[in-house]
Amino acid sequence: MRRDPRTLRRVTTAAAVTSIGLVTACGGTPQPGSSGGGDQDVITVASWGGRFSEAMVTALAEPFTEETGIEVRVVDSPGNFVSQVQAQHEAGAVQWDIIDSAAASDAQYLYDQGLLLDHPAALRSTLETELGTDKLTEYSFTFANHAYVIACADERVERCPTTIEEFFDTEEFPGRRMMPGDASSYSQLITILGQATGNPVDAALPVDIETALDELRGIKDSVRVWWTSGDQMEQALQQGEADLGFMYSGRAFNLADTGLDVTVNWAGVYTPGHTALVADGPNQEGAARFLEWIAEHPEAQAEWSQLMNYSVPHPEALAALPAEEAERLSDWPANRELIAAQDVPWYLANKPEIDRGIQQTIQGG
Amino acid sequence: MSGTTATESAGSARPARAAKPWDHRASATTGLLMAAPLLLGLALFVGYPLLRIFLDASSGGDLFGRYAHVLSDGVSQRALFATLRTSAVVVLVATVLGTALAWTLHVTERRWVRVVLWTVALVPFWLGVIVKNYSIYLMLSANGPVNSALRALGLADEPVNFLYTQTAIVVGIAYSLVPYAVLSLYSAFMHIDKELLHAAQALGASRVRALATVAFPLARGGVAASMALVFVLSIGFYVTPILLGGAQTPFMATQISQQIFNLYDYPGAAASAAVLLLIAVLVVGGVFALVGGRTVKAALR
Repeated sequence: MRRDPRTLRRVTTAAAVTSIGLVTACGGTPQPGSSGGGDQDVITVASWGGRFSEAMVTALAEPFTEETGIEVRVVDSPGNFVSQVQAQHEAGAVQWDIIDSAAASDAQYLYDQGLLLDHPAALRSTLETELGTDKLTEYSFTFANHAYVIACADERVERCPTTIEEFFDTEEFPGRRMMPGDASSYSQLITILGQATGNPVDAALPVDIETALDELRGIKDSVRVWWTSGDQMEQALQQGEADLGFMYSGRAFNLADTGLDVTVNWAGVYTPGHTALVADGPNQEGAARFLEWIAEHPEAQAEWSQLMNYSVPHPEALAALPAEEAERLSDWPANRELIAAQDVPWYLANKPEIDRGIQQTIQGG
Repeated sequence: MSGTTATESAGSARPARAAKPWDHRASATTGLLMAAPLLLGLALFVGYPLLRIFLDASSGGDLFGRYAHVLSDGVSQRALFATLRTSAVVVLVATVLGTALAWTLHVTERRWVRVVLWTVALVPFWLGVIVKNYSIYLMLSANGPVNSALRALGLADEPVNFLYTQTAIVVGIAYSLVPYAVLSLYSAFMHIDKELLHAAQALGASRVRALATVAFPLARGGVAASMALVFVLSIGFYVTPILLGGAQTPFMATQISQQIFNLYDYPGAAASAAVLLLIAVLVVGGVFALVGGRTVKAALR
């Protein structure tokens, strides 16, 4: 039997076109809830990856699934919540139901853009009962709360500053410093600068931006490391690039636990994460149930807190922790009163000027 | 008659019509079909995003405003110039090191030298980007071996600040790009007949003069292509400026990242990316114009 070359060519063409079609069809990202009937059984939570996502799965998602049968898919998108949610909305295919512990300024920005949902009435009522109104906004509750605190390597620093003003006094408190340098920390940085200008802890902001930037210019030459990640701040103190500086509270205690002699002073900025419902998410009902479940389960929150060294919103969760762990958390009352709150609406209203001023100062302008 | 018999006997074993002899050259249709997945991928993942960058940069009726901002805004301007300056230094470093390595590889007769040099030249290729940069971070840190050596030699009392400087970025990027320089330069040098240099020296030229007047003109296109390649790759580096340069050292890729993730300014980021892309195209075009496309092609053949 001899094959007709034209037939062969036709078959090859058909096969090639079919395979391209198959590849294209199979290569697309599966969208939660896009298959008929699966909508109400799955919710998608965007989290921070690594240990953070693992803690979400172990302490919260798995017990919730066991109780309700609703599967929780945790996707990693560290620090990319705004761009991802915007892109999903622009594409008309929102894939996430919940953002987990977003930075306050990111969450507020998304809410202002109409991309996060106001709490439905039933959820709101549960959240107020369980967590109290001070842990809530119209669209979020705080989670993974921590603080920017002062940490010193005891070996290299004689006296560790106990207040922001002392930290900015480079003569009395010498040493190579580190400070937040990533633009995602500018809201916290301006809060630190507000205190450096003399504003009290409970009213660090608003501040005259130029006066605040003068404080930054004044200390700039003593700052060796402008960190942009948690790993970098730990390494800087460990490797001797910096002797003292601002760190995430959890990271500072991590260093202490690994054997480095570190003094941690609670002076800095309260930094809550914001967990919220994404507008037009594929399973809003299931997502609201999950948030309600988290609020109603302080023991699950306590387990999460133990895994991550971050604070959680339920007062009973804090009480359920061993005292030596609870005392390391930013929501521990004695710690909380020493750290300033951010003023996110004020920061967002002045964001271009603040961001630009800080960036120019850090980069030598 | 014998011919008829032969045809008949062949006809009983083979098809009546003689099969077309096998031809290794594929037809245009087959070629297109085979390339179709690649072309499709190219259109979807290169062509479309590039087009989107330019469309986004001019979105909202602002045709050139964002480009003007990239070139006039202080922060952006500083990042752009720092990127170009750093990349120019990287080109110099990578070309000098790459030339030394590639030329030695070309002329040496010793096998072990070739093995050692190829290993040295290609190791950075095999290492992951984080491993490469983190090892340089450890080398240059305050307690790292470089500072320890300086203190041990009495050349420094305090740790020298190597990290979070333009120098650290140059070291990091050059370390990653030397292999590209070596490979492209080696392919240019391997076409140079070593006998020409011997002839020049036999005619009285010094070693340096023989290299400058005989070898260099022949390798000119390859050197230019190598420099352009290293420059274009260097201006797009992202991880190295973050890890080794820190927030205080401006660089275009980190600036674009901040525009996207922290300032929520996608059109602005698109304009910054488009400016970088245009600079890359200009550099490649400039090299071709300077030494001629044929020279570059011949050198890299």
